[in-house]
Amino acid sequence: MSLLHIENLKTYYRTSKGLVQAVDGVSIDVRKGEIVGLAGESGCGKTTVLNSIVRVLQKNAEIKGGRIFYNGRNLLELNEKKMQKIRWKEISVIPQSAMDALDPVMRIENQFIMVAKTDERNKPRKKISERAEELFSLVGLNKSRLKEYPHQFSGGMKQRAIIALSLFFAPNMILMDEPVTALDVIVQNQILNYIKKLQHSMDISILIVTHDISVLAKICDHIYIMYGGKIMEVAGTNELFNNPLHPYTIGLQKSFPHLFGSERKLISIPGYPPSLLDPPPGCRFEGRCPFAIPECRRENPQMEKAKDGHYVACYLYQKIGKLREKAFLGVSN
Amino acid sequence: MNFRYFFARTIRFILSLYIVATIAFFILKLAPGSPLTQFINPYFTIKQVEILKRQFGLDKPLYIQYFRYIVSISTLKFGRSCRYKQDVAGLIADRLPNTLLLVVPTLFMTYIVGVFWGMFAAWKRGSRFEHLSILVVLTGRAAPTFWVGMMAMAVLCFKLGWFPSGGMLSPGAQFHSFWSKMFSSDFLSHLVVPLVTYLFYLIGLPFLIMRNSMLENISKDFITMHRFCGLSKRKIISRAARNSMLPVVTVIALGIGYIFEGAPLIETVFSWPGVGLLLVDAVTCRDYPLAQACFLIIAVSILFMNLLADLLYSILDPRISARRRFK
Amino acid sequence: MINKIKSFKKEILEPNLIVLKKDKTALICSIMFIIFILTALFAPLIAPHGPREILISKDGKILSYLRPSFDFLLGTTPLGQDILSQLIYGSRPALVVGICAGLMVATIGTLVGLFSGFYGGRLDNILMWITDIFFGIPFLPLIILLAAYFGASTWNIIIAVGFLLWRDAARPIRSQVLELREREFVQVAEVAGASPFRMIFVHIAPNIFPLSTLYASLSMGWAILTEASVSFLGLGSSTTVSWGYMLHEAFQSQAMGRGAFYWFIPPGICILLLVFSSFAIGRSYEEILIPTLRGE
Repeated sequence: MSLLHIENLKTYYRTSKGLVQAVDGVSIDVRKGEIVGLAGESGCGKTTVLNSIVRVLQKNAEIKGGRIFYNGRNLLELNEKKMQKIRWKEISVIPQSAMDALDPVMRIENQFIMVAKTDERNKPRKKISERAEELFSLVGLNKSRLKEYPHQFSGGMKQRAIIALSLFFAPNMILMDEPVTALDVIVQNQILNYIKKLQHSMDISILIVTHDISVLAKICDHIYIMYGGKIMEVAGTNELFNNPLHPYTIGLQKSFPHLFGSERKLISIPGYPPSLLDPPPGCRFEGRCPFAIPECRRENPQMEKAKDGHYVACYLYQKIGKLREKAFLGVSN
Repeated sequence: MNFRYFFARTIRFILSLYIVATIAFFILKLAPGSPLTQFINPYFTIKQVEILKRQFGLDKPLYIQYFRYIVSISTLKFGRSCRYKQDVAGLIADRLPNTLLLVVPTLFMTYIVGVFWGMFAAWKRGSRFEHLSILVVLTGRAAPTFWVGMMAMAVLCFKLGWFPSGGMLSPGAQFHSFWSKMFSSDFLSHLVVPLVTYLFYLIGLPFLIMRNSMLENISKDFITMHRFCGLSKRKIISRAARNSMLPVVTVIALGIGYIFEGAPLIETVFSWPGVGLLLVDAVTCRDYPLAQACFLIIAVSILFMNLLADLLYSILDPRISARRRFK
Repeated sequence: MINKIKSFKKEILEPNLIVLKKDKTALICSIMFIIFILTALFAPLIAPHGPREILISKDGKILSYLRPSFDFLLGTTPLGQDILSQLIYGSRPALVVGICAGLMVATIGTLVGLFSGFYGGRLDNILMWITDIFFGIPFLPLIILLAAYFGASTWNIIIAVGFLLWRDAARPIRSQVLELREREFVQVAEVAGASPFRMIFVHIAPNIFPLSTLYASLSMGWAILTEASVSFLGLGSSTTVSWGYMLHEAFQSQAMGRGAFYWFIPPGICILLLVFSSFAIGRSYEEILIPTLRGE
């Protein structure tokens, strides 16, 4: 049963140079209790997807089309006041560079109180502090730290404080934007474990957005691959890693170093992401795809079902198995 | 509350006082002509001049004169005024409160109005209101204060007759106490025009700083975070404002400097009996001891209020009191 | 050498002309400024009378207290002087003080900032300490005091302003020098064996030129205001008729009370326009430096 269902979302930015089609027909499905990942390069529109869900967009951004269903209601039809009731109480967001997300001149405890006051029911201060302490211990932070200012926390601690804050109203869903990117590997793992633990104990659905696909590999149930404003492939985590069908996905996997697997050469994908100002009519990845055929340039491939739960937008996905071997062998110099 | 910082800052304040006093001393020494010229008439014999010199200690070597000067200043002995035939310290003590009564309300009004105005201008970014505001504020900066005062006086006092045209209080007015005097409608009606004139000139600084600061903060991550948390727009603006105010407070020191510097002009235009007017009068009559002392008092007031502003800032910004401030 | 001048022109003049074309305020203000300069230069030709010339009617009466008429567009003073002529001649002291003091402030401030930022260490500490001391001195009161001790003359005011206001320019220029010093092209010059003198004046200085010009124009405005203020207080030169002096006389004879708006309004407006022009022209350089202020 789907908690969040994004259908053909289109969000564009108006700039002095023209219309940037940052999110161009993206569909994502998150079920209750699931952790879903959205992977893609920087600038491919992933953050815009999250911002569109809670409708906290820049002044020059506009949602041009699509629907976002949350618990059956289309969020895009709600007015600002109703959206305010959804934000944080039902859907929380942990933004990119959460390091700077805390108000620098406010004690952490007061930020909890400020957030608590956005709910109609006025809880007494004591209850709010108790809840804050509860959440802090949940993420492994000492409750005495609540009286401190953000600049007194380390990066990892700030991240955990934000996670604690996001759980205040026990939301049904948390959207995370690059939650561990700025942290060192060891702390990364810690945080990811916390997230997994929280998700299990509180049965929250999570949508994680990141460029680091290995992060998603650790905790996600499903992974969506995004490129140039569109979804290229979606599959269950294991399926995606064992049997990637889109050339871009394959390229992504090879771009990350593998600590334990067989020694393979690191291959970065040559070329640059397409301009979203004037996107090409065909497949967005065509310019960098080693397997492109003329048809790829003419028309954008639609998402097709390769298997149960595995969808891909590529004309050549059936042949990919064989092509993969060829590519692997061919690039061994 | 960082006591180390408080202490260091106060020491710096006292040091600055002495440095300014020293500079004032040397300027007087550099000036052409002798300070005695006002006492001497051409019929004095050389012997009489010598006696006078000895009386004022001008025959002693420079370093002794300097030492005596520093000592007397520290004990608040500023000498006698040639013109008023009184102790300078007494004259200044009479006038200083009047200047403060003008300066402090002006400071408050300027910053309160400036901060709110800057906040609105940032909120309505790109609008006509914003562009007009910036134009008005720059005009205030570019127009000579005394001229604005003259214009205000011509319109508000003479043409419309709404306010009295000069002085601090109506002549012959009687009051029970200091406070009843200060809150009387008589005083306030005298205060309005000078204050508004002053405000027009000074408002540029807090306005522009607040506006720029708000524009910077509104696009910062923690504001986006507040939006994610579902805070109302009003609350978000107030959080942005709270964060934006820090640069404004930093700049209060500068504002204080400007206010005191403008005091001689405003007080002259409106015949406000303060230290600024006293300075101008003293200089016009070549009353050097009085002029010197007025200058020093103004410098001291500025330095003192800067000290207060710095201490206030260190309380407001938790990041400053947490770590040592280095220059 | 000619190439250097050519490239200098290209790098410095051209971007400024482009900004002037885009920024209407700066353009209008530049034109106003040029009008003022021309007025000052050709004052004797433009003004109908001398600034201190006492006008006497055909039957020997002094033409004082006259309201504006066709003969005397701005009326006359109680002494019988033509206000319009005074206004025209008043542009001279204003511009002289403004330009000279502005250049002086920019020069001293730039030199202090350059040496302070480039050498750093002890020299930096000393220079900045001196700058801070100057900051602690209240500006106008000191000028008033100096006028008393050293007498009032245009040159005294120029020197006094020049010696005090450089404090505002020194710190920002120093900051920029500090930043430039770490940039590659300076490091490269250092490695190539350039002398400090060469590095400062050939490599760094041209890049802080815009900032110096900004402070030159701001200081010009401040200097004009200061001269006007000092003249207004009666402490300025009594031989030169400046706009400040005109307002001083107007104030002394209670022109506001008499409704002699033709006397006390025009000089103030001239000061306002001239100072505003210098600020506005200076601000357009700031836009080159700090693109964020470009009202996006």
